[in-house]
Amino acid sequence: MDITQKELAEAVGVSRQTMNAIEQGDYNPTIKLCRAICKVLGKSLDELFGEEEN
Amino acid sequence: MKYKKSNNMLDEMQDNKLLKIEEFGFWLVFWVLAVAVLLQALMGTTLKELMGELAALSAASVYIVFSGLKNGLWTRKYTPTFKTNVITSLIPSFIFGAVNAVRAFVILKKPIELGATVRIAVMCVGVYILCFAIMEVFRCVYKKRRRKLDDIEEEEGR
Repeated sequence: MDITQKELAEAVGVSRQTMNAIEQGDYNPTIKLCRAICKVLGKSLDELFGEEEN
Repeated sequence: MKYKKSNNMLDEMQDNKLLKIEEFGFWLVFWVLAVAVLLQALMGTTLKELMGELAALSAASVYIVFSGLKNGLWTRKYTPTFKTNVITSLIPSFIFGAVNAVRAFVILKKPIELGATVRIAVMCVGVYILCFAIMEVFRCVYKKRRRKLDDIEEEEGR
């Protein structure tokens, strides 16, 4: 999906600092915020936050 | 879909960070106040003069203890047991004894007599018994509250 970090942060209503921390793995978002991000990106929780298979 | 709601200008990460800052600030004030009270007590300040500081410390302590008990929380490191209460009650008793001994024999330069020493020792034992009794009451309340909250959570989880 073609969306910038800034646009995603604005769409879910969090700061870019928070979105950046989530991307970097420095902050674990609540399930509520995860769902909001999934909804904006049109992805499932598993696709975005699920464990990566080796 | 906007995640943020209410009139809070912060998102959840910023909110968590601010809570941690406020928590640190609270404990900083609490311990600085506690040390200030101890030092003033050592220097011979009367109870009446310490009333403001003691009221602030007591209010914070009462709030922390009762909010914790209401939510079935004790500390992060320990669960309340008879043994931990026996040991932790020694701390206020020791502090009380040390402050009174230093104040009487070092600051006020009273002669070290058996009577005065025994009086301080008896007061230390009194403080110990009082603290231990209060801690035991809190332990019972905590266990009762914990059981109740676990039962409610279990019923809601069904």
